[in-house]
Amino acid sequence: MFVAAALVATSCASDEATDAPADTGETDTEEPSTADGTAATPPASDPDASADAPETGSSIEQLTIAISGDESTLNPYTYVTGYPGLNLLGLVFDGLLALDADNEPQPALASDWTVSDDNLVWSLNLRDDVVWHDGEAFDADDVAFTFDYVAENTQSNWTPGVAGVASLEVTSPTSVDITLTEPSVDFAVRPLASMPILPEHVWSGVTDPENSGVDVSIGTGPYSIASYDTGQSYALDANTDYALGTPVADTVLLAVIPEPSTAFAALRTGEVDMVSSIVEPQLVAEFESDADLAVQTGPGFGSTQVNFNNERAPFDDPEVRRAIGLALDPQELIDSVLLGTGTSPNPGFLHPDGPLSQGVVTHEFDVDAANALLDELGAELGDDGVRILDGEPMSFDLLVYADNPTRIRSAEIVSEQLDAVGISTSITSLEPAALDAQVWPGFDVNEGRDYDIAMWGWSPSAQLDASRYAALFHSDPAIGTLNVTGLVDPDMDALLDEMLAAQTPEERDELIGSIEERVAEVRPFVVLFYQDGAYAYRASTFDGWVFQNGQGPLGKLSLVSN
Amino acid sequence: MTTTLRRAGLTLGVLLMAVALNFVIPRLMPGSPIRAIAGGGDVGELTTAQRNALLDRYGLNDSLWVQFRDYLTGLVRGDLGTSLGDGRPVSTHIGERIGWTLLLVGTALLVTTVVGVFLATAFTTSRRRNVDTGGMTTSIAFDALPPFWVGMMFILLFGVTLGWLPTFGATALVGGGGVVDIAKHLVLPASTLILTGLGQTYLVTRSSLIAVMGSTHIAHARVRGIPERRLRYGHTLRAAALPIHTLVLLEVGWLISGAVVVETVFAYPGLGRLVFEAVEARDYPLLQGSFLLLTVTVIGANLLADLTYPLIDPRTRVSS
Amino acid sequence: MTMLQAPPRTGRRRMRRLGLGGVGSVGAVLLSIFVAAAVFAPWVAPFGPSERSGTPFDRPSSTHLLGTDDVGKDLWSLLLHGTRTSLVIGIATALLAIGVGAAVGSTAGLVRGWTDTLLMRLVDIVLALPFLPLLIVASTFAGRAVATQVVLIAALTWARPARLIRSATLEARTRGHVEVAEGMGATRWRLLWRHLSVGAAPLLIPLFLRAAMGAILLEASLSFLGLGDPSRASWGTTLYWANVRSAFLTDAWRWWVVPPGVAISALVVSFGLLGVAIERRLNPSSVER
Repeated sequence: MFVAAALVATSCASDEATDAPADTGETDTEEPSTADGTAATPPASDPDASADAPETGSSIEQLTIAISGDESTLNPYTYVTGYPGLNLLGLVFDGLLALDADNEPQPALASDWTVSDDNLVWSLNLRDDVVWHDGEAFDADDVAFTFDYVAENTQSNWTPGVAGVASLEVTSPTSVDITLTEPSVDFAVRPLASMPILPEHVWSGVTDPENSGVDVSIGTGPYSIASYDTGQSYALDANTDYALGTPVADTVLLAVIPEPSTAFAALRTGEVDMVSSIVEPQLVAEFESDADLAVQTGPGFGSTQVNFNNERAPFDDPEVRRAIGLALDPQELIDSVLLGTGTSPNPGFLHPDGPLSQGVVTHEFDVDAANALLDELGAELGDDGVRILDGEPMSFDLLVYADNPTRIRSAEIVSEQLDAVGISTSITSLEPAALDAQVWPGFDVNEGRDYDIAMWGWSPSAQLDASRYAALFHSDPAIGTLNVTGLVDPDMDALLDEMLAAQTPEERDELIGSIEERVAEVRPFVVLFYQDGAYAYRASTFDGWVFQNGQGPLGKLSLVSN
Repeated sequence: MTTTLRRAGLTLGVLLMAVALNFVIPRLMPGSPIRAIAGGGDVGELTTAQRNALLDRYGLNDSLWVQFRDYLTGLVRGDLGTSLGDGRPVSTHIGERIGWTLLLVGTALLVTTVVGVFLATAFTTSRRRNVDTGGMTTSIAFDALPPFWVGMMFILLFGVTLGWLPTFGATALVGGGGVVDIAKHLVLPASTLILTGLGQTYLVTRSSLIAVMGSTHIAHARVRGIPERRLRYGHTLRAAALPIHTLVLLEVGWLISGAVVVETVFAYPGLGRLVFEAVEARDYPLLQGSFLLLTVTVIGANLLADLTYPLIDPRTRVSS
Repeated sequence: MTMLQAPPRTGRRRMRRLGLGGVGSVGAVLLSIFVAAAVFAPWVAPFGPSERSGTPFDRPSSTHLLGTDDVGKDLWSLLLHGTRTSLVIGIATALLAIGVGAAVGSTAGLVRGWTDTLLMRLVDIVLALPFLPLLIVASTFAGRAVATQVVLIAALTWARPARLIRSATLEARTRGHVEVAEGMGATRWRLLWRHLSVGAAPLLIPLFLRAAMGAILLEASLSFLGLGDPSRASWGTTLYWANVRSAFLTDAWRWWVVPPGVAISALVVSFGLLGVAIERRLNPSSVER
């Protein structure tokens, strides 16, 4: 009886999956079952797929990608994660500009742009051949609308990016002039290359953007959302009218598989063609030896670091922080935890392969120097091997996310390395919300912090633009929204203010160099490494993946051919 | 009559207690649900005003009493609230997932009961003592297997090595939804629960059979010449049926807990896994809703056991 | 009790005199191996529980009998050190759960009246809550220390024993021990003590063993889900790392995934078999045909 009820309930459940708006040629989620009801892998047996080369223009029937979590209705106000959510958003929506594989802004919806001599007015010319997924034409009114909407509906990721816009003028259906309050060298990246443009004719009626349904997830991008089965999958159909290139697959299926190991097992069996999660280092060799599979590696921009609570003794003393930095050996971490698949850290935070780094400082690892510095500071070695500074033993809690294996293993090694210089740490694994509550309560730096040392990391987006770089260190909470270490350094503030007001890229770059040096000097945190991105896929299905530095291959660059 | 009333009153009391606990416990957890609500990536971008605005919309800045009052009034109306993560009603989330858990647990319960009782009867009443001892020790061995490990081994053997069965999800991504497809995806998770639950059923059945086997009732039946088979499966089993039935329904509680682990290992989209995800995200309404439903299911099973007790009890039937 | 059963053969009679029987002996031997492993682990194990002695993902070799894990810790040593964790948590939790359960159950059975009703309602509530989800929620704010986990698991597993002990208390009452003692002027607490030590003992030991079995499996499940202390050397945690590091997509599952699972099962089985043997001794009618 139970079973019967359950069967009825489940068939009802799979029927309720939300469908996309009627105008795009709605497809029912319940496709006719294949003859034997197996987990079909049409790409593998599809004659087109094995002979496919993206350049020839013939497309793959279907590409299945495993993602680790639901991304809600996949529009700019509802998507959930920075990765892969933002990447997937880029499949459905376009921005005025787009970042290429080296993270340089390139034309997208805007075909070209000029900046006035005083660096305050950006004039963009828009394409005239772009169509929304529902058939309406794209024009400058949509751009104006998007800027207004994002400024008004402030829960958006891009609201701070448009904060510097004084006014926007529609000079013709295919051109706009954007006037800024202050010059911003970053403007091309943020928001022009990152902010998705919304359709005015749809979104002017959206009053509750965070709970908006998939029916308003209409963009100009290479794929449109054909169906969305909550918590389970998305079916994205190729946009045959896409003006900026040709989608490589007729359908992209996104399968939500929370456990990475399950996702990789599915990759092995052919149930999926690509997995969005980074491949564990030890699996790289394993996968590469499999004829059907391949792995693409490249620089990853996510950082792993050791954060100090700069407001709490003894970490309020930059010398102490510097001494600890000297005791940490990033190479050991990269070798043991990442099996070599990592990039050595820049103590100034910026990834060496990223668009901003000036490469002026390198990490120093010197145990003797660390010991010497600690001795100098008066931290005497106690009988139990733990130093005593100002009457307090140097024994601290090292917090770490309990659900992040790489971080935990790193914490274990960090703890060992600190033991060697007489600093004892006890590793406390907390689940994410609990740790966040101590390091970044309410995600608001105004609320203070309550920790000694914590393993932390910033997502790739922190590497891409100057204002986010400033947000890490500025003592003014309005600017330093990411300053979770509580650093207060007037010299740093001055440099950051100058950098944000820079008029030219050259000026900005020079200032960034100085800031990197300053960061290395005051060391509010110690960067340990940047984990390389290694992504596995079925080469026999599709082999045209393009690795975008810091982002990986999942995105527009791979799934659209030009 | 008074017993029924008392029983109903008790159930209500337990339910109320569960509801109250349900409300309090998630809020004891450290950490803010802001990440779940804000969605869209970088939470640090929001100003304090924006954050408060968000929390206000979900009533999370109100005092606990106000929140509790709203929660109760909503509950009475049948409204479980809306998920902080995606703004959809909690009941929708539950509706989508409860079917799968019921399917999984239901199948496991059915097979475990039928196979467990049958095997227990066959072996325990066997003439040969070794058979009984063997059955008992095997059950203890099965009972000792950790469900998540069995799941992993099944994935390894039948999924990765042999490739016979799918290793994740409830349906195939393409062309899925058919009965055969659902059944194929059900095999491994259900088998995991069955294998690890069989031991309990067997042992309980065995002990109630033993209590009955030596009774005069059975002895008389044997003397009267009733054939062995009918004796075993008819008389003995029927006499032992009462505690078996009770414990089977109590197994539901165990199976639901076991389902959390199994759903995780196999990425099976059920209610148990939902609780886990809601905890991670601090999605209070979702957590409360799914938790409540799990509790209600267990309470319901207990109630069912109590109510159908007299129907199965041979003594009451004989007397009426 | 059984009227038509053939008399036991001599061999069995002899074994019964020994006290345990075949099944029980196996259980006892197995358990003593585990206890020995737990006690002597620091000396027998080639490496310490947090010692990174090899390169990560090593295959089994003469130095590392079961290879190494994802950071280079010896899996064989982890298996040995993990015995301690499982045994300590299992036994401590069981003691606590049975202690509380016995106290509550016998008090309810002896005192009766509204105390009884109140306590049994409490038992009903605890039994009605789905325990693993509750454990998941509770460990997020209670933390991951061993003591915390012991208390949490015990807090959810004391209820069923309490109920069983209450029934046993009620039964013993009607059998007369209690009334006789009461008649002789014994106070309530003395009755409780006496009852517990004589009347309830046949019930307590099997209940304790069963509680230990459940606790070991629960701790393993919690650790596997990532709710334990990931740096602790425990079988469940080893399997957690195996899962998160996708060990079972490579050959590594043979020496990383199989041994801890077998160890957990074997330990729980040993408790189970011992339990059967003890029940045979103390309460033959419930186990013997």
